[in-house]
Amino acid sequence: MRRVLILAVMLALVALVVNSTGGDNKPKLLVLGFDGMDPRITRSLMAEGRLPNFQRLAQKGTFTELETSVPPQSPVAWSNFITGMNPGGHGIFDFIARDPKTYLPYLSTTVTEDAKRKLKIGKWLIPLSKGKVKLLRHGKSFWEILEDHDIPTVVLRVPSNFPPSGKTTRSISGMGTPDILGTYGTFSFYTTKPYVITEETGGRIYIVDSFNNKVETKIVGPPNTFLEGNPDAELPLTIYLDPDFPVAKIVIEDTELILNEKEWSDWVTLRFKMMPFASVQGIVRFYLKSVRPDFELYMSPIQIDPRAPALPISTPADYSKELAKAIGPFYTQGIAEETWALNEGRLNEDEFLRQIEFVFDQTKKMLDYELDRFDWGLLYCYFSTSDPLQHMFWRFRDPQHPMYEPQLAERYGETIEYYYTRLDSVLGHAMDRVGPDATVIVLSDHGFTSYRRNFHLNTWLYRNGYLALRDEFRQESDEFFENVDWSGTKAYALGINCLYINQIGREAEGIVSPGPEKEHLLDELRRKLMAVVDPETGEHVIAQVYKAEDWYSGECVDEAPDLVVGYNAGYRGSWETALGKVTRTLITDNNKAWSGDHCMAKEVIPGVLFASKPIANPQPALYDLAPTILGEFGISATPEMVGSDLFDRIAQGR
Amino acid sequence: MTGFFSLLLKPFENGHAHAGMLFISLLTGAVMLFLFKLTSNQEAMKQVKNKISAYFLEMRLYKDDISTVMASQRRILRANMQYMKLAVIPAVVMIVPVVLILIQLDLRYSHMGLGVGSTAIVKAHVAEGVDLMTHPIHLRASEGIEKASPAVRIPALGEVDWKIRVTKPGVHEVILADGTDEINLPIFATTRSIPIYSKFAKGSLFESIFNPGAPRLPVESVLSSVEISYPEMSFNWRVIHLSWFWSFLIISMAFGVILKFVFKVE
Repeated sequence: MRRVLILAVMLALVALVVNSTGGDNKPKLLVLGFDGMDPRITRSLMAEGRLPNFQRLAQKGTFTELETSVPPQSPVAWSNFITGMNPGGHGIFDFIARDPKTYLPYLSTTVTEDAKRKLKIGKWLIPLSKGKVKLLRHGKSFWEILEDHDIPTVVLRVPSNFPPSGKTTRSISGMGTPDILGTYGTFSFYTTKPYVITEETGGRIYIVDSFNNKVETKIVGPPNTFLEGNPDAELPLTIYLDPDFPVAKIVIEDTELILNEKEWSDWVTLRFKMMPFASVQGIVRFYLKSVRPDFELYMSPIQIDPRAPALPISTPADYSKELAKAIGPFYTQGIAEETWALNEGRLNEDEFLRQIEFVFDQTKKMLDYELDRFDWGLLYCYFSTSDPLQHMFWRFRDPQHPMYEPQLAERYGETIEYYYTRLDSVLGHAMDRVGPDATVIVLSDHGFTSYRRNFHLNTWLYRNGYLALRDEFRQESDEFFENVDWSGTKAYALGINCLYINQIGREAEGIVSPGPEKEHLLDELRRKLMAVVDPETGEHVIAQVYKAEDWYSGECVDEAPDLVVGYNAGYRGSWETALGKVTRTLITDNNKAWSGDHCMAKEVIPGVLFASKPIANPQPALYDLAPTILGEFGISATPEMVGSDLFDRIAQGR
Repeated sequence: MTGFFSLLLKPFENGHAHAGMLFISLLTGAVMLFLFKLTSNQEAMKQVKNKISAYFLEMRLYKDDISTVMASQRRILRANMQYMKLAVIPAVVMIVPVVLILIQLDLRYSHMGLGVGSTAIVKAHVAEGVDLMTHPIHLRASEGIEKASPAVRIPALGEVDWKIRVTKPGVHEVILADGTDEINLPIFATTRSIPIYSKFAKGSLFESIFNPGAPRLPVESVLSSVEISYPEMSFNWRVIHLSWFWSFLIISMAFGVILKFVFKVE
């Protein structure tokens, strides 16, 4: 009896030791997601020896192209990665989706619902039930399946995950997380310059007066849903300019800060009072662009404060606070890099580069924080910076781009490559930290190419008789199909790649019957679109048109666009098309700083896949990653997944 | 007084501020209880409390007799007033040391010292009638801090501000020069729980009481006050974050309630 007892105690001690050391035999998987990392640039830099850590990983296991999603947009692609399904399964087909009953767009990944019942007391509206924020992505994420098997998981900033799914996974939401205004990022720009335009894409311009070197204005916050009419919450903003020196003092209620010209501030906390004892907290950074001759102050989109999140941005709910305590306040907005500010000329290239450095640094800090305690399980971290940087700086590496300027190209032509080398350092550091026995996977959701020309798809539909206008004389329509005559419209485009048939029984004013008529129309549209040639360049605009039924499977197929237009390199669906506009011109030069893109045909812009082990499948796709991650922990893919495990477990002994 | 408190809290200076707060709260609870016992009529208080208990018993026994219940309630109210009257003198006696303790705790626990790399604003106000544009104020920084911005002069408010940045831990100085005088003021870039002076003014009784130990601005200086923006401090008690004031109030009262059974105080 005594021996049995001693044996039991010894066994318990051994179990305790094994458990406390994390268990050497327990699988350890590090996955790094580098948004938009392009295989061509990667290959070229590897050949030059500038990516030694990627080279190291490739030599150890795998480096190959990774098939992206249809269409290759980040929320769609990362949803393929998360669920192991195609968009027909997870239901994310584009950045924006449409309601067929109203033809109006909505953000495809998240829906926010106000409290259903409210009690009106004077001017106050007291909610009697909770409002809701719902993730529209269908299907179970791989980390939820890992949770079910008690595998410790950390998922940092993966896109299409707001509000974050899962329970025990330590996760921070990524792309798709709104700013505090509920938008994908609205900056504010205060200036004494008399601009005509006060509303521009991605931001608001406030024209202010400087009287006796004092500027008095306001910070516009979120709509106050506790007040009748939901007026915007506001905070007073006062700026004192020194009479001679290029410096200013900014005052927001009790908060004071001093900024030199051309200086970014640290995080500044804003508290918008919604009702007595209730406020919404956000954080911003200021950038004092100029004091004289014109005063110009840039304020970043107001981020949800991770220390007091107004919306759910992490699992467990306190994780964002824990992270903020460890690394300081951080950007929580999905696309934190302020691309619109550069696109609209509110920030210049250097200012933008400084801003994206903040985002890059914070992600490295998050990764480091988790690497410190990574014993076993899954650690996933998403680095966004390579995507917005390539969107904005591609013009400096493409002499054929309308926005190419040799002088600027001289200065910024190597910036994209430089950031690839930064990613290489991140990878090297992480590989060293996790040790040689850990499995390491690096992937990108798509590659990149030049975006030289805009194709106005709704205009093409109009000119070819598929879309009718109510007022033909105008020959155009404002956004959201304002001038579209649905009774004469057979097809319409919304989103960057999506085309819909105005179908009877589905659309509110559908005119095309499902069945042979629709099928005939789809084939006709597909044939004609693939034949479109740009008269200016002689190139085909569209490389591929995908029919939903050929590419999608799963429970959300009914919500799919009927056709997905895959553009050729150099072309993309215009911003106007994405919002349902009809323009007077069909193909125009892209004169925006947003000069690189990936919303093309999937064959044009594959992503990259690196792994520390050889893979069995020579043509891997994004949706294979979820089954591969599960396989690493001995868990089978779910029946809903269309992908399969990339590693040959039998050959590798697991 | 500041010296006495510095001596008292010396053992906790380099440790966690929570330890110092617990110690001072315990000490305050004990001392206040002792003072209360010393200055109050304990016998009379005991009688009043007994009466209150008796009236409560009366209410329970005659709960069906509404007139008796009402009369008991009236008597309880009156007894409570008597108790409060008996507590007035001890409260008055206690208020003086409590205020002095609060001032000392405010000096030590309302702000944190600056961290290396962090910035702060030095805000100087000039006396009424002084024109900032013709009477410039200059700031120099000692080793360990650097001037991170030129002056922001706001003539309408009689105010001039600078941003400073800490480069080394320690207690450093900024030197403000108004053309005739130079004033050295301490800048605290430390994690130690020591008095952190965030406001400096010319000498007055009010300043001596409520900002004890802080260096004074010379009477003839054109500066009327100088403020340094230190980050605010709060105590994280695991389940709740509280300011030093609420932390002290709750903990010292809790100690008082526990200790009253030890000291047998009514």
